Amino acid sequence: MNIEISGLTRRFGRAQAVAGVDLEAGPGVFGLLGPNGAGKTSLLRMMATVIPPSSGRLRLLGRDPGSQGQRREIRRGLGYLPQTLGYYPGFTVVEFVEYFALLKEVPPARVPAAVASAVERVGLGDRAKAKLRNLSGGMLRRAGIAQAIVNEPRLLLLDEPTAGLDPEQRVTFRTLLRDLGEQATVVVSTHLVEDVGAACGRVALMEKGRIAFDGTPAELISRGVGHGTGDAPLERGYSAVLQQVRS
Amino acid sequence: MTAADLRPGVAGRSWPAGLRLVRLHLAGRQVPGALAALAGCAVLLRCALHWHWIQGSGPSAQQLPLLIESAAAMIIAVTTRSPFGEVERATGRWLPWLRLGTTLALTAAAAGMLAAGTVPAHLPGGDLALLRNVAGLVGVGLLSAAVLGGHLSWVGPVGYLGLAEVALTSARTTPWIWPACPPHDHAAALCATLAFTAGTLAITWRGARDTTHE
Amino acid sequence: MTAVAVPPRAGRARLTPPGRLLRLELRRNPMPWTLPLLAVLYWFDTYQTIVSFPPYWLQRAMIMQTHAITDFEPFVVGVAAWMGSRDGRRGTTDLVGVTSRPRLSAQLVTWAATACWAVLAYLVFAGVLFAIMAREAVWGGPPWWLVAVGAASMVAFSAIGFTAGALLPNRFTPPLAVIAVAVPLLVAFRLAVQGDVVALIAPANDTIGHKPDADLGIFHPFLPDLSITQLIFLSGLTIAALAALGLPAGSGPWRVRRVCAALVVPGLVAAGIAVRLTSTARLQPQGMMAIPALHDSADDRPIGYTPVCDHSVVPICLHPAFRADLPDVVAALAPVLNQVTGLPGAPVRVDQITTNLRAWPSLGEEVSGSPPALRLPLAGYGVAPRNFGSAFIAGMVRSRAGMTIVSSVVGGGYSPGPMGEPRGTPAQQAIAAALLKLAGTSSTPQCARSGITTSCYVVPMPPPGTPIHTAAQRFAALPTATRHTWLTTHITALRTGRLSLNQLP
Repeated sequence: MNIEISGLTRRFGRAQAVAGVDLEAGPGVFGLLGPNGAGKTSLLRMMATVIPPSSGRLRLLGRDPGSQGQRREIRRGLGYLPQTLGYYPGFTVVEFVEYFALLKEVPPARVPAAVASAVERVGLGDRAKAKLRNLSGGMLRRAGIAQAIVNEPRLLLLDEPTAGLDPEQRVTFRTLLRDLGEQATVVVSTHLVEDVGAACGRVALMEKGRIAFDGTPAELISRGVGHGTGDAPLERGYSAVLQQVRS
Repeated sequence: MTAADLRPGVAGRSWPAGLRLVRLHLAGRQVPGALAALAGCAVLLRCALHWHWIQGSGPSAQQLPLLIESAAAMIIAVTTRSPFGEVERATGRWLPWLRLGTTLALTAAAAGMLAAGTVPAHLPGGDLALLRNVAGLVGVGLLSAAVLGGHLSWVGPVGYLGLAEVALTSARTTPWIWPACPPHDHAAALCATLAFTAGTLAITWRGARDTTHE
Repeated sequence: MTAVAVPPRAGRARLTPPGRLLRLELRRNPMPWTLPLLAVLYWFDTYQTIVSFPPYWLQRAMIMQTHAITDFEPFVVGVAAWMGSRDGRRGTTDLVGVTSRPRLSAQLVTWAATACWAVLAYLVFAGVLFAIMAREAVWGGPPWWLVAVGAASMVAFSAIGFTAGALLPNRFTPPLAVIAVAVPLLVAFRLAVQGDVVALIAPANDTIGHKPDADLGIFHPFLPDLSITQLIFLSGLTIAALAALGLPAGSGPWRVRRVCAALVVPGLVAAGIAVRLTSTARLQPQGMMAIPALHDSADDRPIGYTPVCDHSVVPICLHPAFRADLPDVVAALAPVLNQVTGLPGAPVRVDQITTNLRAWPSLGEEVSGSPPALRLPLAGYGVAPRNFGSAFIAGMVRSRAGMTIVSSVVGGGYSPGPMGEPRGTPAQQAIAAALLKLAGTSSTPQCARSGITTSCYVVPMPPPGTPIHTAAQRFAALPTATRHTWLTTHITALRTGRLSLNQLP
C-alpha cells in the first residue's frame, strides 16, 4: 500500500479540518470529492508532507513521514500539485520543470529526458521556452502538473488539477491520469465529478473532515438511484451521500 | 518547436546538473537583483565617503554606514522568500543546502561589496565592525523572515536599526546592540555571530515562512 | 438569520461608497501591526531623549520632531510600499482595473488608509508626549506648527512609499524605499548640523547646528517660516507622488491620466520652490530660522516678562521660565563676583539673555551698559540643561561667565569659545588667571558627553614656570583685602595695559 492512514486528524487552532480519516490505497487513480471546506486540501497537504498531522497514523510509500530520513525518501517518490501554484514568473516552462526535477533528485543524466517528457505529456511542448508570466491560467496549471510528474512519482497528489483546463485538455489529462495510475497511486482532489467518473477507479467523498463514502464510481452512482439531485448519475450519487450524512 | 527539441538544451549544456540547480534556485530567489541592489548599497557607501557625509569616527559618523549595512541585510532577508511555496518544500534534500549556500554567498557578497565601497577612504570602525554588523543584521533579517515571511522580513532589520541608532546616539552599550560597540568588543562580536548563526539555521532548516498567496 | 440578512448598524448606512472602501482598507491595513514595535522604538528613542531635557516646550518639541520623524519613517515608508505593491503581488491588478471606478481611486483609498494610520499613530504618540510635557512645562505652549510638519511628513512618506510599491511591485521595493528616504533624511541632518541651510528642508531638521537651546521660544515667539517651507515641500512631494500613481496605462481613463500628468509638475515645482525658499534662510539671533519671503518682522519682537531675581550684592535676574535654576546660577557665579565686586567695570547686575547662535563660538555673553551688567546666555551653556545642577554645568557657567566678568575688569580678555585663549598684556593675563583661580574655576579641560554631543570648557592658565604664572601665583597668595586695595588703586593702569609684570605685587 502506498497510502496507509488511520485515525488521522488535523486542527488549525479551534477548527478541525480533518477529523479522523482511515484510508488505504495502492496503485490506481483515487478521486477525492467533497464540498468546500470538507478537509480535502488539508488531507492532501498531510499526504504531501507539507504539514504534520495533529494525531493519527500516516504512512506513505511504506515509510513514516514523521521521521526526517524517511520523509526525504518519500519526497523522492512524491509528486504534488497544490491548489494554488506558486511560481517565479521569470522562469520558462522548461526551467520551471527542470528546477523541480533537480530538487527531486532525478538522476542528472535523466533530467533532460524527464523534463521533455513531462512537458510533452501535459501538452506544453510548443510553449516549452515561454516564460511562465506569459502563459494562460490553464497552461500554468499544466506546467504545475508537469513539475508534479517529472520524477515519475509513485505517489502523485493533485489538488484541483483540471481547474482552468479546456475540455480537450481535460480529456487528454484524464488519459494521462489513467496511464500514471497503472504504476503509481494518484490522488485527485476535485469538484468535477465527470473527471472522477472518467479517470478514477476508486472514489472517496469527504464531509466535515471525515470520509463519508469510499468505493468505486459505480457504487457511488448506485447510491444516487432514486435519490439525490443533479444532472449526471455521479452528481446524484454525490448529493445523495451528502444528504444522508447531513441528515 | 517541441520539448523534445529542447532535450539537448535542458541539461545538455556544459553546466552539470548541480550547477543548473543552483542557477535556477538563485534565479527563483531573484539573487541577481539582490546582487545589483547590494552593489547599489556599496556605491552609496562610496558616495557617502566621497562627499564627506560621513565625517570623523564618533557615533554620529557610524549612523549612515549602519543604515547602509541594514539595507544590505534587508535585501538578503527578502531574497529568502520562495515563490514556489509548498511544492518546493515537498521536494528532496537539496533545498536546505541551497538556502544555506544562498544565504552565506549573499552575506559574503554584501560584506565584500561594502568593504570594497570603503576603499580607499576610512570607514568608522573599519572592516571588522562592518563584517560584524552586516553578519548580525543579516541574522536578524533571517530570523524575521522565518517568523514574518520573506516579503515582510525587512521589518526585523528596520526595528533593530532603530534601536541601534538610539544606542549609538545615547552611548548606551550592550553586546546585543553590537553596532554601538567598539570593533574589538568580543561580546558584541559573539552576539552578532549568534544572531547570524540562529538566523542561518532557521532559514536553512525551515525556510522563510510561506506566503505563497502573496 | 444568515449573515447576509443582518441589517447594517445605525450610522454605517450613512457612509458614502469611498467611505466604506476606506473603512474596509483601514481594517485590513498592516500599519497597526507595526505599532507595538514602533512604540518600543519611540519609547527608547524619542521619549527617553525628551525627558532628559528640561521642560521647555519648544526645545522638547523640536527634539521630538527630529526623533519621531526618524523613528516613524522606515515603518511608514515600508508598510506603504508593501500596500502599494499589493495588487502586483496578489495578481489583482486586472481585477481592480476593470471596475467602473478608475483603478487610481482604489489605490488612493488604500494609500489613504495607510496614511490615516500613520498620521493617527504620530498624533497619538506626539499627544502622549505633549501630555507629559504639559504636566511639567513651565513656560509657553505646544508649537502646533511642528506637529503639522510631523503629520505632513507621515502623509508624504506614505505617498512616496506607496507609489514606489505600486509602480515597482518587487520584493526589494519596500526595503529599498525605506533606505531611499532614510538616507537623505540622515544626510540632511548631518549637513544641517554643519550649517547647510538647504538641508533644513528635511522635515526632521529645525535649525542649523546642534540641538536647539532651552530658551528657544521663551524670549521670542516661535518663527514658523521654516515649518511653512517644509509643509510646502512635503505637500509638493505628496502631490507629485500620488499623481505619479495615475500615470501608467490601466490606472484609469485617459482623462484621469492626463490630470495626473498635469499634477506631477506643480507638485515638483512646489517642492522646488520650497527648497529655493529654504536656501535663503538665515539664523536669527534668537536661534530660529527666518525666511525673508515668509518672515513677519512682528515675530522678532521679544515677549515681555518680569524677571525673577536673587537679592544679593550683585542681583542675578533670570527669566521666570528658569526660576528653578536661580540658586545654582547664584552659587556658580558668586565666587567670581566676590573677587571683583566694587571694582570699576565689574558688573553690578546679572541679566539672562537669549543665546545668540550667530555669535558662535561665543554665545553672546558680555558685560555692557551703564552701570555695567553681565548678559548671561544661560541656556546656551547647557549640554542638557536638566543636568544644570551637575558640577560640570555649574563649572562651565562659572568659568565662561567668569572669564567675561574678569576680562571686563582687568581688560585683555579671551578669544571667543569654550576653549578661549587669553589675550591682553602679560600683567592682565596674570591678574585674570589669579582671580579666576581664586574663584575656583578649572584650569584643566573638562568635557562631558550627552548623546552624540561632547561639550568641553577650560579656563586657560599660564604654563607653570613662566613669568606670568609666577606673577599670578604671587598675586593670588596676597590677602584678600590687600588684593582688593591694589586692584582698586591700579585698575585703570592695568586695563589700559600700562602695567608690566614687574609692577605687580
